Amino acid sequence: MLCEYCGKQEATTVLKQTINGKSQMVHICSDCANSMLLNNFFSDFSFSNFFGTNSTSAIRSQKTCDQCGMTLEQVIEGGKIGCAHCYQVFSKELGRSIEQIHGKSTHIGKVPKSMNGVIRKKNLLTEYRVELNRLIAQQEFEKAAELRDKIRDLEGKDETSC
Amino acid sequence: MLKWYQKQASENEIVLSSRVRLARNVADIPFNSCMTNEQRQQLNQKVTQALHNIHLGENKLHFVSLDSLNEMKRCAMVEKHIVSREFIRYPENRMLIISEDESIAIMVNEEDHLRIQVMANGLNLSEAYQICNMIDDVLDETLRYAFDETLGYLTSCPTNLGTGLRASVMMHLPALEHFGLISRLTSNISKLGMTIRGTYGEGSNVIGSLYQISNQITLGITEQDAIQNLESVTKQIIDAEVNARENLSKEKHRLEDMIFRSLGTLKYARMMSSKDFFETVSNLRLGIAMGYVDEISLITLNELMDLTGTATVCEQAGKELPPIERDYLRAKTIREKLAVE
Repeated sequence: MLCEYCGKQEATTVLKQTINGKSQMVHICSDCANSMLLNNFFSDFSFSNFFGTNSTSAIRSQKTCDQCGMTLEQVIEGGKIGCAHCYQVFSKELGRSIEQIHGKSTHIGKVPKSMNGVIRKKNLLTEYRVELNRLIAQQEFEKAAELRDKIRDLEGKDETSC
Repeated sequence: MLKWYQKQASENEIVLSSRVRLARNVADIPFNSCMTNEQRQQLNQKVTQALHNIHLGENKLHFVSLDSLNEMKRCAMVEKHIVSREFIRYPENRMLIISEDESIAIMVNEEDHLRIQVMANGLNLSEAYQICNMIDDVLDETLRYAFDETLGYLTSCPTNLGTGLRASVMMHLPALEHFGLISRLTSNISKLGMTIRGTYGEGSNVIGSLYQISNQITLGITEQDAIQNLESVTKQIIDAEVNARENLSKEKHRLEDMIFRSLGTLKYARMMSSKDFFETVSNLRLGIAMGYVDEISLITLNELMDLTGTATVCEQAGKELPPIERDYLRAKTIREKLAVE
């Protein structure tokens, strides 16, 4: 049976929810179970009714951050992240919670000065590649070749010099 | 030098103050929950060095180690909204950087490595953000911030990810409260990604009809948009409060009586509990804003609020006081302040 929440993976966990004496069973995959659990700690989105005390510990992963030693269980219990690297290690589990808290998943605000060059280069490359595809589609091969050289130059360039 | 709350400001009849804070962490140092005391001390040094050459004119910065202050002083700073309650809970190895006029407060080793906070009188979010941003730029020159291209500034709690910016305004809303309109306001502004909180922030009660309104979303929104959204919501709430006040003034005698009884209590009472103070000062603020009272200024009320917190009263006395002594001293401070007017 596929997960009733994401519809993508095989359901491995059965959750029993009881509201006003009425019980309902939900079949979900382990990834969804983990993200639902995380939601409780960072926002008002409560999935707590889904979890009894025994089922929670069973589905908690023993995943650990190799830099600060924080486990996923500690993150869930404390509601706090251990270090910057944790965001990479637990990205799968945290991703959906973050999107549910903020409604968005990508930063569009201020960027530290040290990152300016890297991000500008990346944006420029994306822009050039879109333009390159357009030129090829329109069979403007001469211009496309010029742009391809420009992309090669940029790719080889030191990030800080952009 | 005048404190920030003693300065003239726009819209200060309903908006007492504006506050902007940025949450920042330094890359390669674990977040607060995983830090050692040595790492906290190193961070204090790094930040002190990074701010060594900052130019703030006369409003110079003071670097204070939190455990060098006694508990009364630390609690007094929470009452004055200079630092968070969370910050003073474990004072060891925490550093506060505070400006001469108390408008700038940088908490080092709070929930995040840095909480850069700027306060301004009245509705003045843009100005507060500009100063906050300037300090952030100076720190960014030497500290390498924890930042991710997709998630923005990385923070100890995912609710601050992205810009790490929390902007808030402290509003005096007695008329909306009187007509029972706060709950509708709360549900309306939550749809706009904002939240309404008690007088001392998250989880605190409302005292003296003072409400804190702040942005909740920090990811996928620019700093400028977050500030502008809050500013425009604040202006709409101001309009709603002004309308409600007009309705309130239809019961003129009752309103006048309430205001002048409060003025009398503040001017002559010999004992004043904190709760009584907030209630009476709220009525008096309303009276001044609506033009019933002109002998006292709103700035004097701001000063009074700064002088009469429980820990602040004890701090003035230089010792812990039992409630009766405290209430007596609070009433005396208020009488003296209002007599000068």
